[in-house]
Amino acid sequence: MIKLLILSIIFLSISSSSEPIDKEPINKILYSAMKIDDNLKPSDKNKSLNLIEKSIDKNDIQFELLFNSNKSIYKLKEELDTEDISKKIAQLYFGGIYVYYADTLKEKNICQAQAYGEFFIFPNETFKWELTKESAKISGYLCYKAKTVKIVTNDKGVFKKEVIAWYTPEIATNFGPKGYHGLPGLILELQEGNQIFYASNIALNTNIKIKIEKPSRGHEVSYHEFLNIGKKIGNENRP
Amino acid sequence: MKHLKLLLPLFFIFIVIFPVCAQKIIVSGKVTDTLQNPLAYANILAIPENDNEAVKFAITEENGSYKLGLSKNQTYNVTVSFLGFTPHTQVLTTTEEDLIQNFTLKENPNQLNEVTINYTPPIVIKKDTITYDVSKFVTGEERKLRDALKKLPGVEVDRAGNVTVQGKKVTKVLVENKTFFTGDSKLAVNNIPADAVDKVEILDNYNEVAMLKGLQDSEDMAMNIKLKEDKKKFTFGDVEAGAGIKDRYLIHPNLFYYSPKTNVNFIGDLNNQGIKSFSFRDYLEFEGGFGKLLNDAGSYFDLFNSDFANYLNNQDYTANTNQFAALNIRQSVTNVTDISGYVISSNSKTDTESATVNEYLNTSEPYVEDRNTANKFNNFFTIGKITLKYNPSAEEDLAYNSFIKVTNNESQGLISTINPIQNNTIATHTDIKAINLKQNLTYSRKLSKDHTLTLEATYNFQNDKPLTEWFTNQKILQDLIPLEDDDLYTILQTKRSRAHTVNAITKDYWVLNNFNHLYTSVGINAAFNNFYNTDEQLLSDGTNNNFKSAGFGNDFSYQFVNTFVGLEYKFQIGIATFKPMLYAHFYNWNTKQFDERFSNTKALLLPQFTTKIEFNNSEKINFKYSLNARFPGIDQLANNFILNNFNSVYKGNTRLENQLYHSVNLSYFKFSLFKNLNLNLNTSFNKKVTHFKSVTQLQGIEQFNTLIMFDQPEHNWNLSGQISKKINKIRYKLRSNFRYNDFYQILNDDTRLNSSKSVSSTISAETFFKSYPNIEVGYKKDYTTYRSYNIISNFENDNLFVNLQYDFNNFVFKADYAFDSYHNKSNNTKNTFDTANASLFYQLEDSPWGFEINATNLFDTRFKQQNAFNSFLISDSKTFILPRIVMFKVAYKL
Repeated sequence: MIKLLILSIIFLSISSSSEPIDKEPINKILYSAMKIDDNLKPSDKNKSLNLIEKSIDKNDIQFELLFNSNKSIYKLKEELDTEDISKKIAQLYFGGIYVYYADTLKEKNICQAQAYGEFFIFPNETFKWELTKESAKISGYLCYKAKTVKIVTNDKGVFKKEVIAWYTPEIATNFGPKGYHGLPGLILELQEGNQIFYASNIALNTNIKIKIEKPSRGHEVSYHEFLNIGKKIGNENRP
Repeated sequence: MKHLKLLLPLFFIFIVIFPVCAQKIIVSGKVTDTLQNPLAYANILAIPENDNEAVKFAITEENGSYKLGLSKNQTYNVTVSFLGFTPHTQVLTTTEEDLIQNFTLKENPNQLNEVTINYTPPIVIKKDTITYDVSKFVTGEERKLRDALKKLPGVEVDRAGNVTVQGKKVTKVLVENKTFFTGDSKLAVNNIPADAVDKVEILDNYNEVAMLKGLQDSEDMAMNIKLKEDKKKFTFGDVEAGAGIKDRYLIHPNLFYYSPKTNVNFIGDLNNQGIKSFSFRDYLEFEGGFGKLLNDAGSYFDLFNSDFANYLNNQDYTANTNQFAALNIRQSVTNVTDISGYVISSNSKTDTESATVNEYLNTSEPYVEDRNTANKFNNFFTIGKITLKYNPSAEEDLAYNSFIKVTNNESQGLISTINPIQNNTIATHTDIKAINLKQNLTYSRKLSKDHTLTLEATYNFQNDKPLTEWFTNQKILQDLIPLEDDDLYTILQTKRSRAHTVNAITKDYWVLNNFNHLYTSVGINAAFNNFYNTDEQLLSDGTNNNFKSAGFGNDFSYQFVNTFVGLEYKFQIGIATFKPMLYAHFYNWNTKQFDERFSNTKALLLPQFTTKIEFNNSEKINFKYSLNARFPGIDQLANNFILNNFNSVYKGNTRLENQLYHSVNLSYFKFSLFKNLNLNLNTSFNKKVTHFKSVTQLQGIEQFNTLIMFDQPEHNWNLSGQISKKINKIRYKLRSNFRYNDFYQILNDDTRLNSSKSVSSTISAETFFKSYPNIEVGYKKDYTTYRSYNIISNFENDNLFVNLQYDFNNFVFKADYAFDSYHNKSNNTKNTFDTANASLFYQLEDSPWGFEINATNLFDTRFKQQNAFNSFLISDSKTFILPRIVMFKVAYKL
């Protein structure tokens, strides 16, 4: 009886993961996340009793950007769950609940969020980049600096976060991590507020046989509505 | 041009914004490869030499053509790139005219090799923070930080201590850049003295942490309190004192001392109401706080089940005087080392009383015993713990702790029994002295990218000396103990038990690849135990009648060693994770009773299997199977007679081996904060293959018990479910539980199969209003059936409960009521009782004074009734509880 149960579990999970493949080769970029906290002196960092800080320092959180010439998807790197709660906290901190998908031919630029026990889909922002002449060599690639601002508007006001991206035209793609598309090259380092995402592994024209598929599951809302849902739940559950 | 519209709306805006439209020219052309094939979606980037000019870029169309709007008479550095081709860079100088410029790119297969990048962090730029110089805003009369914060522009503080700055909620309050005690921001806001605060820094940490309760997307702000140089040390706290009707009193101080390197917390409690102000939550805080649960779930549950936790929960007594003190200190020694320690001491005097009707189910005729037990306990214990934490780097950490517990419990009891064979009264006196010492070391180190090693070692020493005396004027246990005739019978039992236990396990976590992990472990458990006891009669003439001649008294030693090797393989397929595990154990033990020796060895292979299917973050299925072995303790092995109670004698069995049982568990879990729905289903099943079975000889109410290895299977099945849904401001909950178990009973040489079944369901509703009174109402129904000797006994219980809380003006009113209707359907006895408590608390906001009047057990109910079932006996007990108490309390905040 137990054998049957195990076999059916294996069958169920295999069938839910099989997908048809695309014809174009897929490029895969791995981004590692890091937090810079300029409010703590470096010597104080280890003393931090703050759980979130500790979780972030201890764990190496990685995201994957898969793209071809017209589609891209960005999400948490898939790996075996270690049942480590501190790792889950660190994943949440760096935006592990979001999946960004873009398809330039079908004019889709969306974000899927998994929060409060449900899925939500809202349109991703299109960013106005300020391209600067500032350049730097990052691991042998010549990169230029671009700046933009991430704005979040809700009924409490307007919040701005400074975003800096170092992109290299040597890798020609307009897709980027965390939904930051539209630069004339691959972003090797993205700084959003206190968080940095840097490319740690670049694999172009791979043999990966995965179809870059649009996430379809979720309530379709606007970003404003998504934030309001969060606020409403936070208010209801506040002690 | 569709793709341009989506990703580069700015392409057009750049051209418009820059004023000198007339100064623009168009550069266009085609990008092709060396074979003249057009390259679609190639990038062209133009960086101007002139700093006043803007950087431009374009993307080629499907046919490889592009258009770039550049300024007249400027020089640009142009880079053209396409994946898989070498980027082409050239200098381009524009004139007054439009320009056609084609580019050819060469293929570069080398670009397509996988590249790993080593990263160096950037230079950190200090961000702007808003800093308030508090002295400029306060008058000097403010008491606490909350009063000073209210004076800062744009800052609001609510009654509970939540702070908002310009509408954004402050979720983290640091003091001198570190977490303050428990990390609860309200503790800091409500308690830090206002005159110690120098500056308040507001750190705008925008965080999209949507999932964590209480933290909201886009509004996370942190506040850092900087203290004045000479005011970095301060104390704060609360003191509560109360008095009540009929000599009731209560004093409860909760004091804190803060300095940047040292944190101290003292909790004291003196009362005679049976209240324990020190809660399990305080205990968890002493043990390391919520962080302990997240980092070390196993030891959290050990804490939860420890005997200290049971002490905290114990509720049923008729009188209780309690003196309690707890002290907790945290000290940071160096950058990477922290020491914390606590001492908890308690001295309590407790009275308990119960009246039980025992129905003995025998083959002959069932008969009934009426037993009354009253006890006076005088319990003293002190526990102390020191923990050292060493975190030199992200790869390595070490924790060491040392724990000591000293116990001295004394009790006097009176047992009266009325049964068809004998009416008797027995007085008892117990004195237990015990000491327990534990040392624990855990070490973990990341050896390489793929290997992490952990080591855990424990040493435990336990020394118990219980002494028990029985006094009666009638002979007891006549066929079992060789009593000599006397006017008053005094029986003395002395026990001494000493145990050294050592456990060590080392485990290697090997990440084979993203979806496959292999864990290997090697360990040892060793126990060295001694058990010594004498049972004797102290005669009125001063001589001793030692029961040794009848086979009583133990001088027993037991050594047990278990070495094991374990292998766990964890892998993932799709949404399911599987972990098969195998442990090989090698057991070696020997026993010695006076001069009789016995030894044995055994090898066991114990498999385990777990699987988890995670549909998404909030919906999971868990399955677990394991084969378990459990070895006997020294008291189950010591094979001479020993007095167990006034009516029972026990003898262990030195030839006992191990128990073996299968356990299976399947659970489903779904929660949705969005739909306010929580669903939980769980089923578990245990099957005993081999286990220790009690063999009982029963005569009247007197029993002789011993243990044997038994291999008829016994089963245990449990099915439970819970669903809760919140609609508008009301949460509805339904909980249901079904339990079944069967077991054999060997009584007077007769083996029989007994079973018990129970069903319990609770339905409740709870309101969550912000300004109206909140009420919780529920109803619970229990059915229990016991089957033994083909006699079926049925019990039913109905329970109705109501809880009310109303916060209005500066008052908080709480009341609760519970009604129980208990029905023993087999002998048709019914009993109903209800209990009620109420309290009213008053405190003006920002005032240090608070007042409370409360009444517990409003209806002066005298006892609680419940039933229990063991091998051959059904017990129906009344446990007596504290009478009605009315108290008036005053609380002052230091």
